[in-house]
Amino acid sequence: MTTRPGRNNEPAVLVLTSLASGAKHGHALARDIEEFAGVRLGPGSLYGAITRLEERGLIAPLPSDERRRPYELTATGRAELAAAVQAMARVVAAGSTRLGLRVIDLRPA
Amino acid sequence: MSDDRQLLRWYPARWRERYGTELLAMVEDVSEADGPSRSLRRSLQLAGLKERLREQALVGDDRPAADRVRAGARVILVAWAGLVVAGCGFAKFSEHWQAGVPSRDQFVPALMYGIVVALAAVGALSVLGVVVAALPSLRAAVSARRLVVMRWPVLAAGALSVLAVGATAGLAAWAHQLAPAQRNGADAGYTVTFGVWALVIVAMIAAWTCAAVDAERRLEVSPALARVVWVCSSVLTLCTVGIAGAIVGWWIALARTAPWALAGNQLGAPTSPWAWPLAGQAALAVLAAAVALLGATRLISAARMGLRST
Repeated sequence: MTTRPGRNNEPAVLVLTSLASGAKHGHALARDIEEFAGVRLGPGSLYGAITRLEERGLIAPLPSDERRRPYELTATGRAELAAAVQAMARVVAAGSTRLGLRVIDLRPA
Repeated sequence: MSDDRQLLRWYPARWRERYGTELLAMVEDVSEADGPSRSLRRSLQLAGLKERLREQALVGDDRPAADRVRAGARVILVAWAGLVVAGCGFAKFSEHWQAGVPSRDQFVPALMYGIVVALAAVGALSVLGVVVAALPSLRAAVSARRLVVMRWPVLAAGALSVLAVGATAGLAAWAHQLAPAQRNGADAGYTVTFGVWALVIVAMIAAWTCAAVDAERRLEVSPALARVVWVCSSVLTLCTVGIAGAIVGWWIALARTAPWALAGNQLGAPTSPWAWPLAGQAALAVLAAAVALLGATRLISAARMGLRST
């Protein structure tokens, strides 16, 4: 895979994170992302990310609800998100330790 | 077409077909009652343009090396076509330039002029090299009838070529009957005809470039051919940049030592080094060089991936 979701504010990571809690269509995704990340993704950026993620098989469309088509995470997408979260967690852990902050435990429950 | 549908026009057709309806639904969801805001329109226009560039493999890091080489080569070919137009103008502008320049001041402009001529030949050979290397793919595409849709663009380019050859022959015959002053603006009829002839030449170059770009999209490119295209396109980029630099260098050299030669004035006559036709040709050449360098960035990204990955 050539473009792995990396930084936590990348639209691709944000979309995958949002879909981890269940299928959503475009507007619901944008609202959820704004709620948990404080990032406002416009329709252009959001659908750019959706296009890329669908091409890479990380998300899949569900049957269309009139004009609004929901998307869900695929198994590959879930694994990709887990890898991205773990990579970010290592940075968070290193940063927290070096700053003397409480380290967050992100191991699977 | 509704206003919202107009917004989708910035996206490529295939993308519109797949995502258009749901994107418009979301635009409705996030818009106020009076429709999408100006900033939302602008962001959609940018996103649409980005999708178009992505579709052509001109941006993005998710395309194989061969696609990047092809995209870069297409851009470089278009840049070269622009440079050929600028070069034709420069050839006309600079003819007989030595006549008004003392011998002692001729070295640098002659060197620059020589660079233009030499690099033009190398660039033309590079284009020819790609054409020759692509002949087997071209033959296969013709056999598979993948180029049938290109019949009209090629016929149009061919017709323009015939027209250009005829017009050139006619204009040359007419020019031989005129005095130098008449050929250089004193004869209004000749000047207008020359302008029309120049437009025919530009149209012919544009038509062949469009046909070549269209044909390239329909060819199957093997890894070996991709490597040839990579090498020739890199050479073409260097030629484009070199020629643009040499045209500007030629202008600067004459502006410093013999500005009267740029205006066709007598030796030593006080003259401004500014010449509008040359400025236009130099600007077009520099623009072509910039576009070629943009195309070369795709060649570089393909090389980083390794040209074997397709």
